[in-house]
Amino acid sequence: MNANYRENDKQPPWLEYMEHAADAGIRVTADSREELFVRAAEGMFTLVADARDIEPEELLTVSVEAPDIETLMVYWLSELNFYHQVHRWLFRKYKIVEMVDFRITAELNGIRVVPNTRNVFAEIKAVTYHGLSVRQEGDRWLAEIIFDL
Amino acid sequence: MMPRSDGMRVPVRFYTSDGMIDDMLADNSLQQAANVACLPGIVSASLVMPDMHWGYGFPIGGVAAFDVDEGIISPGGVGYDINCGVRLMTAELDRGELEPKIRRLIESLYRSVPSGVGSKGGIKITQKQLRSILAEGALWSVAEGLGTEEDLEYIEEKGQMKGADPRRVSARAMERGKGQVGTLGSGNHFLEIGYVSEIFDPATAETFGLSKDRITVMIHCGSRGLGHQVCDDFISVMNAAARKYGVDLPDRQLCCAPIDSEEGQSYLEAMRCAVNYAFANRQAIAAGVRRAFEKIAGAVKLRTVYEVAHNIAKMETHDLEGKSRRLCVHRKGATRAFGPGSEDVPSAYRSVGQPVIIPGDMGRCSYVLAGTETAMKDTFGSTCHGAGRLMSRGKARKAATGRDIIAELNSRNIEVISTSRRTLAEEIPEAYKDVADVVNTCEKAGISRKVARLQPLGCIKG
Repeated sequence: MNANYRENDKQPPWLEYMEHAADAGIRVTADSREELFVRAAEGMFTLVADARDIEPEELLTVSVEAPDIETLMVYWLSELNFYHQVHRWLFRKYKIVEMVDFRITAELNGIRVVPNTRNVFAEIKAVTYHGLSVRQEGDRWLAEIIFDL
Repeated sequence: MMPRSDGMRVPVRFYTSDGMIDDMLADNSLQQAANVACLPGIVSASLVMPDMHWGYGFPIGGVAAFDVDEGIISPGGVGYDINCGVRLMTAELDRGELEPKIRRLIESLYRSVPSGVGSKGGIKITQKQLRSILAEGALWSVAEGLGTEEDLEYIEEKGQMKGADPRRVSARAMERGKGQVGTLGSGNHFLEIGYVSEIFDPATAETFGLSKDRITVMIHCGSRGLGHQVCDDFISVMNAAARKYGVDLPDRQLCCAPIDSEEGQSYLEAMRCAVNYAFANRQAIAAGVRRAFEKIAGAVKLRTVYEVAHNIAKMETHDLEGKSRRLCVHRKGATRAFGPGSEDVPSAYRSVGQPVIIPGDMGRCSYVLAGTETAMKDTFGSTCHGAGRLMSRGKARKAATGRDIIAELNSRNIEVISTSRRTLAEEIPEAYKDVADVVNTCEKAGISRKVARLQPLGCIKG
């Protein structure tokens, strides 16, 4: 893979995109595990749609559990992607209600997109384990995730 | 050839040319092929076709065959888009007759075939019907009046992979697939109208029903959300299975299980469901194509030349060192290319070999090839699948900045409709290798031979 890059000036400082021949990847940094998982979700959805102007209308609660933190990241993002793909959710606010060991419960505020009313520009087939990394470096947390588009 | 080393059970054999070797070395695809060569039960060699690029575990363009008794099966060797494939049809029309109507035809196709991100609204089906689709494949579509039995003869596996068990498909996969039957999807999926621009092998072309200037239709898509979810579900299963059966994985994405294990058989049965979903889907889309042609061009017969899968795992019998071996052949971004005389090739084509459809990018050409005896000996009857990406999506979008891609294609007499400017930018011709290089490399190696070249007239991108 080549160097990371920024798509534009409006991109948050904690988010970089990773070059990949066929697909897309993100590199996210945060001050805590909880913040990392929120930012990873936000970062993933920047590949799909611009959610910045969404006025949240509904609340969704999700819970996932996994055997380790990297698998938890895949399950967490896959769960959100499922709700987006099948139930047309786009999220604006994320709140981690509980994160213990490798179990996460979150409340998400967003909208159910009415078809043809919003530009959804990509479809994530899957969150992959390819080059997956979720780790702590000193005080910082870092995640690198590649998505099959 | 990359000889055996460091845990490799077989060597890596890769197909490339002087012009493509730098791109090949620029990513990790050869290392991925070397990792595949370490998996239990692999036979002969870990193969990589000239359209190779970096994938998940297995490289795209990878072919690997495993002994059915001692080998493994891996979802990474098939890919997320199970049975992504291509159907080629011809219309009883020549280029001159259709060109004046091409814009109206493309617009009619755009209305008939839902495409784009999250494309839904194809065919409404019940849960029970979805289970039938997973078991019956294109046979279900034909029974619903979408196409004819004649189509089935010219689809790999005759449009239905046997041994599919819908009980192995998760509720989540069913939810993802239910609303998408008859839809094209997005990304590199497309529907293309073209014509035969050059004939390389007149006798084989005649056998396939291809003549110069004949109108062609290509449908490129796969198993949509259902297939993606099946792969996702079984990656979790296989990660646990690899630990359970003590399989040493050089890369986590090579997770696998012995073919004859509970997990291996479950994956096969679920994968076959996704294969059948894609067959049913392309048959339904072909029905939409026929409706659009009828509206614009009148009662014109469209005939299926052939339909191939390029992400699949199949049980096949191959001769190895004089012995007949039953193998599980994984093709991920590679196409079956069975040679003359093969029982699996439709009887009408058996004397010349199986048609292989190789789509190029939206601005350049595509090819029809034929399978060969050399492919049967060297690559388990396999060849390339397409052009292979050269540029990342981000780089392609940057390269497209400030350009009117549609106008550029129009200037080449290609009409395009795309649901997304962003997708169009990501799919610009220069984002892909030149498919001619890929195809010529395969022909030089003897693993397929050129029959005809197709040129695009109009295209719908998802």
